[in-house]
Amino acid sequence: MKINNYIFVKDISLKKNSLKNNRNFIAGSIIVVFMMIFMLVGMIASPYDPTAIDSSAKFQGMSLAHWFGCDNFGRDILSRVMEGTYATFKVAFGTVIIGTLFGIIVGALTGYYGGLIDEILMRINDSIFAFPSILLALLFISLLGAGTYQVTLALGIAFIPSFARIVRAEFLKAKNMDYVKVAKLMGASDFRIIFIHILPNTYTVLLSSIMIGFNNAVLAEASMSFLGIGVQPPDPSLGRMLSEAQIYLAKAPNYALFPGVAIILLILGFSLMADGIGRD
Amino acid sequence: MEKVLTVENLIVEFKNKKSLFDKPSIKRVLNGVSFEINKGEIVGLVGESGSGKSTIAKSILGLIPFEGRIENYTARPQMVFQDPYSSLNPSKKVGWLLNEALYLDGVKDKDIRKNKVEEMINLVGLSKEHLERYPNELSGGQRQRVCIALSLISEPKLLLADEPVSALDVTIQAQILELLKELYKKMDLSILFISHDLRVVYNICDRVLILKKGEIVESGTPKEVYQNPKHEYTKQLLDSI
Repeated sequence: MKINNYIFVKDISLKKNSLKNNRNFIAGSIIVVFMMIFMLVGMIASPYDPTAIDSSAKFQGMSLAHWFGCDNFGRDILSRVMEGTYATFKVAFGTVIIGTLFGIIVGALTGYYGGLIDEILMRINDSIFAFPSILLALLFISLLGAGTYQVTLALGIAFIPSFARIVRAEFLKAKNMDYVKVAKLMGASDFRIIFIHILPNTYTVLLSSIMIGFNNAVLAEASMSFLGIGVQPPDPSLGRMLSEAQIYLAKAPNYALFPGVAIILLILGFSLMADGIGRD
Repeated sequence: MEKVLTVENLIVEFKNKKSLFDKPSIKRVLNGVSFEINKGEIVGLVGESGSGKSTIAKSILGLIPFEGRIENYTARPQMVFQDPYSSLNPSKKVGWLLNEALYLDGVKDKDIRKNKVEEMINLVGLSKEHLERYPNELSGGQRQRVCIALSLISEPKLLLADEPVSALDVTIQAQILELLKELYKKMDLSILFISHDLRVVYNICDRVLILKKGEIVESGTPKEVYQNPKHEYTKQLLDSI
């Protein structure tokens, strides 16, 4: 027990000191910042209207006017990748927020109180967990209808169990530590103990799982849009662009290449950051 | 004499249930323990591990369910735990923890809290700079000093010390015991000092209770008990020193 505590304590000290020297974390951050700037440029100064059709520019290759070329409707791919990255990021971000928020609440309550609440909530959790998240999201979509917000909500709900489990495990570990008893003796309420005393100690673990969750959400959004139930045309999303591009793969490989690269960079950036946080 | 604590016929049982349909097995940890602590007294509670020492402390603090009567004549007794590594929240600065203890004690004025925190940290032999540190930046002895500050900042009249020095090395042990003695005089405390080590208890306590398998088998002043042990178990404990 004592050895565990020591490692637990050490985790946090290192988080504070060594992220600066953590190569994975730095590389990840650089990629993420790059993608953010890319997205922001798209929002503020997109070179073309991402939905503007120009029939004279159909399948135009890469040129100075169209850096990434044009698609089957003559729309500028660079502008669409910028806009699509934003759409994908929005869905992934919303998904992670819903998943984390409710995951923390469910995980904290079940982990801290245990007993009947634990049994009930965790069994519901297990039953959600038993289905693949895409399948579950498909089910929600068929109830809610297709669209950006519906996909975000559906994926968010599908992501709750994995966060809940992680938080629950951390709370189970923490609730038997003496510092929780000390807080109780001070007269702290359960609410205060859970959210002010224990929760900050789960940040290290939570943060890296948020990053991993974000990656899964990017992939899930891309798959949903690829299947045609996510972001609706003519609005671009990275997954949607990939799905449209696959028909023209031989004719215009650049159409599939750039959204693919954008997905890879988004995921790589956050994975590296997660790895960096998890490792120290 | 004025009492601060009366414990009468304290019984604690732990139910152990392995699965839903299992018949629970009952383990009796404390079997009718009675004692009292007078104002200004340091009472030592000695026994081997598993004898129920910590369970007594936990029942007094209301952390576990029990049968029997426990009467506290003082408001909110506090406790110093054995392991200074797990009893300080690793994500909070020392100053935050001390401030929190005062805030929860009902001191709403920020400036009063700040002064009190600084006063307390000096009282346990640390300085203002330690308030800005995280627990993992402190040594074991310094951590235990912080734990003591944390338990005494709300000015309790009764302190339970559960093996407060057994996780520390010998030189530090002496310092912490010295500190406890000093604070005991300054803050007008009564202490229940739990230990498995008779040597530690001999130096600090007014009265000793010997606990074996959930029952008190012998009690008296340290001199009486040490020089003329009546119970076989006490003799064994003394021989093992």
